[in-house]
Amino acid sequence: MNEPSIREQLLKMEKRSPEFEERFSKEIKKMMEKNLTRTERIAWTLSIFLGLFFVLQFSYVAVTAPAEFPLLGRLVFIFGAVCGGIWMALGVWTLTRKSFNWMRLENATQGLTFGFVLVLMIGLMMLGGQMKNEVTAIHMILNGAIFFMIFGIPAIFTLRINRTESAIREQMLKLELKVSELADDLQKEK
Amino acid sequence: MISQTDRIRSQLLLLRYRRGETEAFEELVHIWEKPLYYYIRRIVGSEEDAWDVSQNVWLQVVRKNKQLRDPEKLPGWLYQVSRNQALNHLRSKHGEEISLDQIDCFPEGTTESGFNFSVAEADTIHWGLDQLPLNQREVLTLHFLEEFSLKEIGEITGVPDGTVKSRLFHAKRALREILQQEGLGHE
Repeated sequence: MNEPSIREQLLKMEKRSPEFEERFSKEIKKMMEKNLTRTERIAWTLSIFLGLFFVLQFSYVAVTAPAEFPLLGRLVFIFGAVCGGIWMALGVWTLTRKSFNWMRLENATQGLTFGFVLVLMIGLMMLGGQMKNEVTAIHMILNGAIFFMIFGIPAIFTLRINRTESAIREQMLKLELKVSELADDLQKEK
Repeated sequence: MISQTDRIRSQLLLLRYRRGETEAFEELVHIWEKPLYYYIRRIVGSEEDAWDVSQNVWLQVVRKNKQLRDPEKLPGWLYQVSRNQALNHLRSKHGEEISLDQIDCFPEGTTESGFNFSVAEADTIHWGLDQLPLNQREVLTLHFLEEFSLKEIGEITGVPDGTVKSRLFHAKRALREILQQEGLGHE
C-alpha cells in the first residue's frame, strides 16, 4: 500500500467541529437552490408581462392580418406568441417556486431568448421574399439580413463553438479519467 | 498534491455542473472542500471564520465559475478565490486594507531550493506552520498541499515568481528552525 503524502497527513490533522461542518453542508445544498432577490423578483414579474404582451400582440397580428398575407408570416407570428407563452410560463414557475436551479434556469433563458430572436430574424427575411410589394420586400430582407449578420451569425458561431468545445473536452476528460483510474488500479495491485 | 485522477475528475465535474447537474457540484465540493478549508484556516484567525469564508468561496464558485475559461486551471483558480475571500474577510474584520505582501520581511533573490520535509514530519509541520508569519505560511501551505509550481503560486498570490521563490525558501528555513528549536525536527 502507498504511504500517505504530507498533504493527506496535514488534512487529517486539521481539527473540524462537526457542528460547523454540518452547517456548511446544509449551506452547500442551499446554494444549489438559489433564492430570488427582490430585484430578480421584479425582473421576473416584468418578464411575465412582456411575455403576455408578446402573446397578445403576435396572436392579434396573426389573426387580423389580411387574407393575402403569406402563410409563412402568420406562422412566424404564431411562433412569437408561443415563445411569449413559454416565457410567461417560465416566469410564473420561477416566481411560484421559492428557489430554483440557477445554472439550469440560466441555460434555459439564454436558449429561449436566442431561439426567439433567431427565428424572428430568419422569418422576417423569408417573409420579405414572399411580399408582392418589392420595396417592402427589399426593406424587410435587408433589415433581417443586417440584424442576422450583426447579431445572429456571431451568436450562432459562438454558441456552437462553445458547445462543441465543451462536448469534445468532456469526452476527452472521460477518456483521460478512465486511463487514470486504470493506472491507479494497476498501482494498487503492485 | 491532489491525485491526477481527482484533478481530471474535477474538470469533468465542473463541465457537468455548467450543464446544470447539481450533483456534480456537490462532488466537486467533496473533492476540494478539505484542502481549501485547510488553506483558509491558515490565513484567517478562528475556525468559525474559516467556515464562513469557505461558504463564501463556494458561493463565488456557483456565481462565477463561467469566468474560468480553461477548466484545467481549476485548482489554481479555487485557491485564488479562497485567498481573495479570506483577505476580504480580514479587511472587513480589521476595517482597513490588508495585503499579505505588506508583511513580507525577507529580501528577494534567493536561488537555492533546499530544506525538504518528509512525510514523517507532517505532524510537526502542521504545528509549525501556525508559528510562521502569514505570508510565509501561505506559500508553504500551497506548496505542501498541492505542490504548485512557483508560477502557479505566483498567479494565486499575485506576486512575481522570484518573490515566491524567496518566500518559499525563507519559509522552509524558518519552519526548519522553529521545529529544531522545539526539538521536533528530524535531521
